[in-house]
Amino acid sequence: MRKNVGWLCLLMALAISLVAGPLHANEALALKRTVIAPRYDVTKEVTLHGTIQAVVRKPAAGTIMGAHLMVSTGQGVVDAHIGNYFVVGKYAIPFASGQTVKLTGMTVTINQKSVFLVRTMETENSTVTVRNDHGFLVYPGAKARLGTVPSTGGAR
Amino acid sequence: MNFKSLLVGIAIGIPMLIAGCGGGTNLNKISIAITTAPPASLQVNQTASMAATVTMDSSNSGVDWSCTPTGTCGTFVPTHTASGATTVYTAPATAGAVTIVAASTKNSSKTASASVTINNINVNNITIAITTAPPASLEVNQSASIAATVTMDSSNSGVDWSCTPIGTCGTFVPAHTASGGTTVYTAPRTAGPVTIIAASTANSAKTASASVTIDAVATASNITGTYTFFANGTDGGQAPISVAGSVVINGAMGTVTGGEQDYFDITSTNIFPSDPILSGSITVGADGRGTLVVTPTSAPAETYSITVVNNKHILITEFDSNATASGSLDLQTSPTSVPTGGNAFALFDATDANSFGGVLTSSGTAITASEADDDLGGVATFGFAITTGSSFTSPDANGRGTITLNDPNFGAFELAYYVVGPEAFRLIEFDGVGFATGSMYGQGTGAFSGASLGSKFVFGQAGVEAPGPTGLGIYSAAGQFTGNGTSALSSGVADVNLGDGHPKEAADLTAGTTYSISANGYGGITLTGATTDGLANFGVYMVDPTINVSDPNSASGGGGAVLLDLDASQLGVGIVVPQATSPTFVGNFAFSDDGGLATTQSSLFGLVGEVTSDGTSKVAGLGDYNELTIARTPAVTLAGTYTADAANPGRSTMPLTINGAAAPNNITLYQASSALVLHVDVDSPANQSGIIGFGVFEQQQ
Repeated sequence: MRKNVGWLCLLMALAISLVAGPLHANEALALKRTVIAPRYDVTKEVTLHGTIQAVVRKPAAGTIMGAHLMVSTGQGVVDAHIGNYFVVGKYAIPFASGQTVKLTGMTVTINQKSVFLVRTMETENSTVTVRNDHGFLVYPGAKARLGTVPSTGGAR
Repeated sequence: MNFKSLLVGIAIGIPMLIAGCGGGTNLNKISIAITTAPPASLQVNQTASMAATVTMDSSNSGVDWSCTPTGTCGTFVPTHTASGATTVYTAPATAGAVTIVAASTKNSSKTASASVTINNINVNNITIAITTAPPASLEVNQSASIAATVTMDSSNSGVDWSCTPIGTCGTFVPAHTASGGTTVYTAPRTAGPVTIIAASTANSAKTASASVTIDAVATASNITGTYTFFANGTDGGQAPISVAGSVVINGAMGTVTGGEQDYFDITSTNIFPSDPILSGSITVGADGRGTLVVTPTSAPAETYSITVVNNKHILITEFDSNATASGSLDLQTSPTSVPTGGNAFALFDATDANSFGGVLTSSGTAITASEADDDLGGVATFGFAITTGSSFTSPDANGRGTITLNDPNFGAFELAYYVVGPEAFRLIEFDGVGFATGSMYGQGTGAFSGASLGSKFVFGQAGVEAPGPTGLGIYSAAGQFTGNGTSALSSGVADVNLGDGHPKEAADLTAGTTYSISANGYGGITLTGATTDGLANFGVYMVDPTINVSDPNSASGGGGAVLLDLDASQLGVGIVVPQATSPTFVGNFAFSDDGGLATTQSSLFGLVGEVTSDGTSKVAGLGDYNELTIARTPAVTLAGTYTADAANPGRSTMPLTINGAAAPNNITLYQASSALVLHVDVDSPANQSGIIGFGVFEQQQ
């Protein structure tokens, strides 16, 4: 009988260990993550003032997908990418030709074409965040979630 | 005559007598006869053997063969024979009377002759038989070698191949063969009886035929039951759209009779959770391609182009003016299942750029243990618990339940899940806070460790990127690796395309790479990012070794993981699947590809279709191609030529021409098994062709 109890205990211990397996989450060596700087660099941002010439919803080949504003500035016409969230749908802004805008962002060259990546956009009536600090487009309806995220960061 | 004169005469005469009687040939005594005579008549170009024997020719000089009328009477091979030996006479190409002449070589005046009448071919005597028959049945698009032999055709004109019903019966390469020569017959794309016909070229009335039944790879009637589906993509405003649900299909009737779905569309900002499906329809062609129409109560009707992989698994892409969105349709085998025990999950939200995944242990109502990662807009956090505040509800009659996953970093995800089977669930967020979709798979009963990645695997992923100096806003990647069983990769390469004009091809994955898998299946792979355009931190969440993450109802191909990319400038979701040793790539495959392109303008696209691989170098087929803002084109041609990468077995490259485009899409294939190949598009905008894409080849069974 004692021998049988011993086997039972062993089986129970084995069963408990199997069940308990997933409860011990951090059993493996912690993985050291790689920290890579974001491609979008807020330190290289500039602010442009200009007037809207056109809204391009179907961009040319090789340019960033999503809507672009063609903005007339003191330095010439700037191709400013703003994505689609502020052009169509619930959060669309009624852009008009000749409308003044203030754009903060970073100029990059993509496929031999200069594009101004807009992070924030200010019109007469509103100021909106187009991108976050890492350059990802921000959906206006997701602000509640985004509001909890620090503006800088990376790997743990 | 005196005695001396007599001796002189004898001295001269005896040798002459000797010579004349036995020591030399008496030319005049030579005779010749045709001993194997030609037939009295021959057909034009027909051949006959013949022989002549020379007698009284001690020199054995043999026979010279000729004929009249000279130049138009035929030929002999050889033209000179030994006495009694055979020559082969070939009749001329024109009809008429011919005299065959056998002449003694020693004395050409000694001849024998035979008259032969050369007739035009009597085509009525020709016969033909199929000597290498086709199989009694073939699957659509499949090929077989066949041959036919013609007899009594002295013209050797050969065989012409055809079939009925004309135009829909298949093809022959070549369509004309020599008698006995082999042609390759390829079955049509449509099912049904086909008659293969071999006709004598000399007399087309002389034919032989064989019947072949062309079998469909799928039929609508076999697509019957409740299926769980999901599709993720982009709406007409080029903003994310997603749907997941279950749909009741009566394939025999071609109808959709019910179901339920969750849907969101960012441009319209419509969110329709638990939306009853009212009706719809389904068609399936013999090649497995077809259409599924789903009409929900609140959301817009969805028209999907579909390709059947098997009766339980179908690739789909939305093919209407509303959206292009790709996913799958999988038979719901266990509608009452709720995630219990260990599960791995991966969620991706293209709308507000976040990925969230990990492993959890479920009691069926709550999470009792967990370990997860997330990345919101390039800010990643690793290895946290999501136990507090998380919960499950049981599924309804359509296999829909709900899950709350409480991410401590950015709040709760209110998700609907749709059951595929006891260990497979499709997830979609319906709270309007975020717009995540994904899958959750059971982990079985086994414990995991570094050894779980200690063999060969293929992976693929796609997602969004923050366009800094490069890129177009989306990316895709695929690769293969072999883990050493503890913490490093012993081999591995990947192709990465950020759309920056410089895709990374066969980029090394081994240098500086580490991985870790915990007992609960939570893990990750960390690259340096130096060779992979910044892709560096992968979350890896192991699934049940019996679960096939690409086809959850499949009994084979199980194991692997769901995958997240958790980087500062890229966020994505994908899968890791085991890689078989020496798989084949032959037969009919469902094919999908979706991503972004830059042809005449930038747009997102989706494509689903069917291709046939010849097993050596070529694929060809048809697909429905939705270039969302450019065109929507059904049944585009697909034609590719693939070349194995000798340095990296399992990897191949393929220029794939879509719809006859001047510039092919260049895709890289990573073969997981004979049934599954992942591919990634490695074009750049400079190619002015499809630039970023990801998809699969799945063998139709």
